Amino acid sequence: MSEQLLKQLKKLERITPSDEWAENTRNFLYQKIERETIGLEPTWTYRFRLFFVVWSRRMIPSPVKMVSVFTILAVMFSANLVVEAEIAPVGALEVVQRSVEKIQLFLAVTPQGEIKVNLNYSHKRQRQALNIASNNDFSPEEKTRHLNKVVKYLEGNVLGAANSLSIAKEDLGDDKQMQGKVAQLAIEITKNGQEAVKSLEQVKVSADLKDVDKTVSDAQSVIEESGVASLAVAVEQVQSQQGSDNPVVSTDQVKEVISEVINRENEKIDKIGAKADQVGITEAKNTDNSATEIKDLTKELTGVAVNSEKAKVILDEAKNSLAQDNLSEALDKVKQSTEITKQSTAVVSKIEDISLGKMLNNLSASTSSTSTININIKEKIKDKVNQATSTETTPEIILPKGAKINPSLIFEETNTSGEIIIPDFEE
Amino acid sequence: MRESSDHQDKVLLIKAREGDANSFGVLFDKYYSKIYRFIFFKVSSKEIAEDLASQTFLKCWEHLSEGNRVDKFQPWLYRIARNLISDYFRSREKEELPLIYQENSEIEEIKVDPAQNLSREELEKIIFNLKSEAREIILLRYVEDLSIKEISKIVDKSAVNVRVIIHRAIKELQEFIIE
Repeated sequence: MSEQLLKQLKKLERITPSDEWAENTRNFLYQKIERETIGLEPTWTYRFRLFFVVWSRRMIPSPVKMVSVFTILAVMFSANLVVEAEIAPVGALEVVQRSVEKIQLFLAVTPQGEIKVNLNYSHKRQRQALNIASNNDFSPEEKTRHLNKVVKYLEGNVLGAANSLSIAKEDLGDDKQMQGKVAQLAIEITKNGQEAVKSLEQVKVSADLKDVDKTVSDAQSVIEESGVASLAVAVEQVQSQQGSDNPVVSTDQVKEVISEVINRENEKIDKIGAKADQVGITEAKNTDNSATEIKDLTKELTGVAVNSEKAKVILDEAKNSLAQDNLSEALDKVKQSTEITKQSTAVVSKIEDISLGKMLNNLSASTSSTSTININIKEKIKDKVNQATSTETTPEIILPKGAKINPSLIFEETNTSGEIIIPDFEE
Repeated sequence: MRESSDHQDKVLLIKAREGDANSFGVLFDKYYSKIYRFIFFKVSSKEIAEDLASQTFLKCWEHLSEGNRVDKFQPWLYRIARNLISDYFRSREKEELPLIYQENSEIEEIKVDPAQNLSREELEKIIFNLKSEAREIILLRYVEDLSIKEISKIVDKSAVNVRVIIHRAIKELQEFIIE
């Protein structure tokens, strides 16, 4: 009720003095001011004050506007921080991060721009992977999940950059300047790939998780391959630029990168050799191994050693080609060597896995009489054999085309010496 | 809007201080009714209110011509009016005033139905029934639409105090409503 009364009070606005009084008072004041200020010159501060008061309002925004602008800036800044933060790829933050990445890629427009964005994110992913690997707050399961995700993203970035490079190469034409720029980008991709491989190596060591090892090794392999492919583009562009007065990328720059790739390949071969020796010693000590198994193993390890030697020789040839400025030949040799190393790695990994399976089998047999563990280990070994049969690098088990082993039949039968009897194949 | 009005007043004040009679005229036109009403509801006499309103603007000009700075024009103008009203009541205590200037101390009994359209005279009577302090604050708040902060500057009380006075005044107004 009182609200209605208060609203009606507004009617009191109609109470005004008489117009006559208003007119007289205004005139009186007007004349007084005129009389008192006649001949008065405006002070020097007058114009300044007036200017300041009038323009300050236009130049200095109101508090509301200022707060709004600061809020928007703060939101933008914090969103950027979120994106920049080395966070685990989980929850809403990951969505934000991935969305920003996609927007940046969309805005990049040109393949060259896409390469830069992908390389930028590749660096970020490397740091992120290292941070997660060394972070002890995560449980092994969480760490594995996060690392697998980040490593896949990293792989995607490097592959994305390599793909964009091939698109950029196709659109080049005869523009020498552009050819040089593409060569430069190709070198950047290769260098970035080399850094990524090194970072992933550190991730493997820091994380020390079997499930992460496999993802990381696969990613390393893919990254190295795309690095070599990018290097081929660089070589092609540099050679097409030969004779140019001011090349964007010099032959020496490309030589330096190829040389680094050769060194990395040499390191890999040494590592494979060391690993093969270790596996050989372990298996030789294993009294459960039959004579046939030892013989097969020796044959395989000898094959690895021979291949390693062969790869080293090819790398030496690549070095010589490089010294003679024959970049294409050097790169071809590197590719050959990489292929051989890849085969050797697969063989050593397979032997290692089977060896591990046997160890687990023995351990379970000695510690428990229950069949549950045996069944699990058997299943694990069956998986390993299945994996081995699906790779081309396993000469021991060659399946007819389209055939596969029925896992349920494996190890159901063994001969007296414990050797595996391979059952019939299913068409 | 109020901020814009303040800024406009500032510009007019600067111009008026430098002798621009037109600018002062604009300020006068903008505020004379408000100041008159404010004084009228204090002194309850049209003639005295007009006289004091004239004095208010005169004082305002004198103050400006002396080169004094004014931050917020409207509260400052109300304060000048308020001081003049105080001076008026103080001087009236000393000298015997003619009968026509004497404030009607008798409170007229009035009851209204706010759901109905009330006349200006009825509303005036209700306002005059409030205590002087509550009357000026209710006027500034509900007739002149000033904010609590602005009112607190004019009446020289804290914002909390102003709120309390408004709350009590509204309670008082309830007495004039037919149940």
